Amino acid sequence: MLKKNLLALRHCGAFFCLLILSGCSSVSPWERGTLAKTQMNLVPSPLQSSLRSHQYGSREAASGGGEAAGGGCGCY
Amino acid sequence: MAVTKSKALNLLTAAALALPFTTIFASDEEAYFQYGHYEDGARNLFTTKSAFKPIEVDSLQSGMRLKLSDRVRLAFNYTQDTWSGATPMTTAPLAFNPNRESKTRAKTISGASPYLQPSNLYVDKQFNPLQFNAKTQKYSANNQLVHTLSTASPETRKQGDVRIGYDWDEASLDAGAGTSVEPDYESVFGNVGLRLDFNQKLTSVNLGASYTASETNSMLDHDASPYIETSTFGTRVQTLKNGVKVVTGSKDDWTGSLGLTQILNKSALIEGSISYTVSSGYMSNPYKVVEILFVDPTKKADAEGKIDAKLLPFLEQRPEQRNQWTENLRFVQHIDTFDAALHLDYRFYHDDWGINAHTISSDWIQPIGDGWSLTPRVRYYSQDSADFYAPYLLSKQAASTITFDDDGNIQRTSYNPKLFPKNYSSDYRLSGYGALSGGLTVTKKFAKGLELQAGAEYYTHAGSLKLGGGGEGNYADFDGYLVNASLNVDLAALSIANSAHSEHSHHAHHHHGAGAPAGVMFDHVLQNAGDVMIGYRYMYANQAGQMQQGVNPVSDKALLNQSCDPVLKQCFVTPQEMSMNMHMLDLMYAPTDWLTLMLMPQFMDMHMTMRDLDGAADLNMLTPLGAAVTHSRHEHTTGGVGDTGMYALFNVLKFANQQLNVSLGISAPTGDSAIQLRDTHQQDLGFIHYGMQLGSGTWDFKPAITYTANIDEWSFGAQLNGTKRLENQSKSGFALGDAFQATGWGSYSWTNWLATSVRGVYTLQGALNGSYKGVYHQIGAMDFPNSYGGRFVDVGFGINASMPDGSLQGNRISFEWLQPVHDDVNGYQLPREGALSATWSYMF
Repeated sequence: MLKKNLLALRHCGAFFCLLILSGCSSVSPWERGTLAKTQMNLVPSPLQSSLRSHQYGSREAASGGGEAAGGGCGCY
Repeated sequence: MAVTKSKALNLLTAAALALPFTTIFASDEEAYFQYGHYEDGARNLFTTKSAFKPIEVDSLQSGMRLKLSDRVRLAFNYTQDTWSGATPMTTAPLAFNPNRESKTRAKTISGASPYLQPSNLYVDKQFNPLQFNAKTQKYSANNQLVHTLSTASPETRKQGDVRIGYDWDEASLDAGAGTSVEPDYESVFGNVGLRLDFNQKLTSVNLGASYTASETNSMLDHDASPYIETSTFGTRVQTLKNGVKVVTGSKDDWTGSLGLTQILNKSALIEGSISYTVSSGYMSNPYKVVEILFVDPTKKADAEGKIDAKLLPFLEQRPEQRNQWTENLRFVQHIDTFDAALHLDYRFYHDDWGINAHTISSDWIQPIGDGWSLTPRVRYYSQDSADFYAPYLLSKQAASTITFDDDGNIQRTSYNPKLFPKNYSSDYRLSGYGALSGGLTVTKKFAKGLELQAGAEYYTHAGSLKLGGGGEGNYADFDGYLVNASLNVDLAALSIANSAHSEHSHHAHHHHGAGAPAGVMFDHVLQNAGDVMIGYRYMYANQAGQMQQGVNPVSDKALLNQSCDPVLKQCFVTPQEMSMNMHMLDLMYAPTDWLTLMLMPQFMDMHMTMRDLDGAADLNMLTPLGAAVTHSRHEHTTGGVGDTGMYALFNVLKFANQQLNVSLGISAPTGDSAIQLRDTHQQDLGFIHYGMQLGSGTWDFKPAITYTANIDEWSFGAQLNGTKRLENQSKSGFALGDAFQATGWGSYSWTNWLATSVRGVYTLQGALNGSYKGVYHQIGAMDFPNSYGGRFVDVGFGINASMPDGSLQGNRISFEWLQPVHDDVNGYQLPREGALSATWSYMF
């Protein structure tokens, strides 16, 4: 059990290193026009995504991404 | 209005700097509405099939996000799901024939009567299940597994939540709370989120924490519960006075999360997050059981090599603790050549139940001009099985043994539960498998901030799709599809558009005066070609109290002897409470100055409770009528899409302060009018009570004529409207009666934004025509077509508020309570207690 937890922690560490390294760039505010386009939103269709994740959550063991959003039992 | 390109760029830049980029793209103020439908494909039962449709779920979601001030945000959200249909309850060897065929329907299983304890079971020396072959009259080993299906009558879950947020220049704090309620499960939840921006908002850190408390309180299926072993569950399972077994449990979930979002360059960004959830308490599904196969090791095989075996079902037993870790990575890259965005998401999930799961998905968002965009997407998911998952368990002990004590009395010894594993589940969702899905979403953005979206996704689940192989057998494979349609109104974009056209806008609103009360429809037309109005209507109505015949209250004795069929002579139950919630979307568009088109999809749910009549005969529950009466002691619910209205509105007369409008409409029978109850006690219960159907089942003609007048602070109106059924009967055999309504109102504007109204309503509604074609059981007045409709008078009290200026300019909300003052019912019916209407509309 402990080994598995350590494995998970290592995963997380590697993950954040990657992110921090990737952050060494500079984009001026006036260069962010492309980023402001709707298709570039991290979650482009939040409403549809919530429906989909509710559906996956009732069909898969690895439900949710850790947010508490209610969701009920899905007892079917 | 001519804004130069560089100005636009400057504005955009300013906006980009002013707002955190994680929320740059989503509007701060919006109203939305979504409908979703999910449906499983049929399961492979090999030798038979289910008489009931597989599980289907209708979902409705609506909400609004607003800015209370420059820095304070408020959001509220309402979600409702209604589901019904067949799902796997457990798994057993096919050799044991665990899906009993219906008595009334050949070659199908009734589904609701799971065959949990089949008899005459044998295994060989290696404990392989033995299948009897009728042709050769011999037994042979067969390890094929099959699900045992169980069917649920419709059930509804409702969830409401609110969220409030505060923005600083480079940080934001959000807090939210909500509750979700369904008949057997309730939860409350709260969450907080903090976002900190760094490095000119190139980097954001997100911290989150949340808590959910849930309570399970579920009645076991009365057909299945006599066969389910509950003795090993202690106080978790309790037997009520009426013999119904109830499973109770509570659960707590705590989650913490940490995320980092980074702009990589001017056309790419990435987000990484980790979260940890600890759950403790009752996490089993009360409707899933595990079959344990008992084989007594002291028993020897007979001449054919058969050993007696016994199969007993136990409620599944999951661990009461679960630690879950999730890592998410999202990457978005703009593809300049196509002006498209490529989204790549990966998630790794790990828990201490032994499940590791990988999810990878990709979206390609392709704008194709004129506000349209296409988004194909593909997703792959794979999970390991939980440590305690098994399709069924083998226990090498006798299910029960009979011995004699010294006095010669029979001593029965049951199985020893200590020989079972600590935890067990045969829920296919805890098995090892993979799932592949793909879909397409089409989005159209109109000017003035209106966006419509429709999407479809096909989902396939298979053991063979598991990453690295070794997944569950193909008996558990299934597929399904999910479709959604949504409407989104960007209120911020609207108010910008409005301030640019304030003169026109002001004119439009002024013209509408105080507006009609919330319960009135078709009262106004749009003024100019190209005008659009979006609205949302909610209506609640309920009936309760002492049953009436005509205008007079009636006793149980009278109901018992008179309210049912004159031939049958006896009633058994009476309705106790009936309520209806209706959600309507109101979409208006004026293609020309003189015509307004209106589309009105509806989503509804019904709820009904009944009680036994005093002095009613006691029926054997194993007869069709007896089973129907027994089932009526549970509350009944239905829900889903209702009928869809399509209207054309004309302004026929118009003076300075008066107008006369005519509306001609058709209602399409998109609501289900053939909902049936699940089988119980091995009886086919057939159609649910008429009043619980979601649609009329017929095409209906709906005309209305409306007069409105404004004099200073006063507004008056009157309307005649009707419903004429264009068909004699629906496909299920009956048609609702025609209806006529006359209403008149007066309202007074106290300020330029607030008005109150008083209204009178007279309604005439005919009884049902025809009756169900097919199985249904008449156990109370509500099962007779003549106990529908009547003559009704109501008085309504309303309040209307419209925002004349500010960022919410153009929004109008109104409420009206209709208080019944006179009920003259056809046949025998519950009196009405009242109806609430609430509307939100946006004129632009």
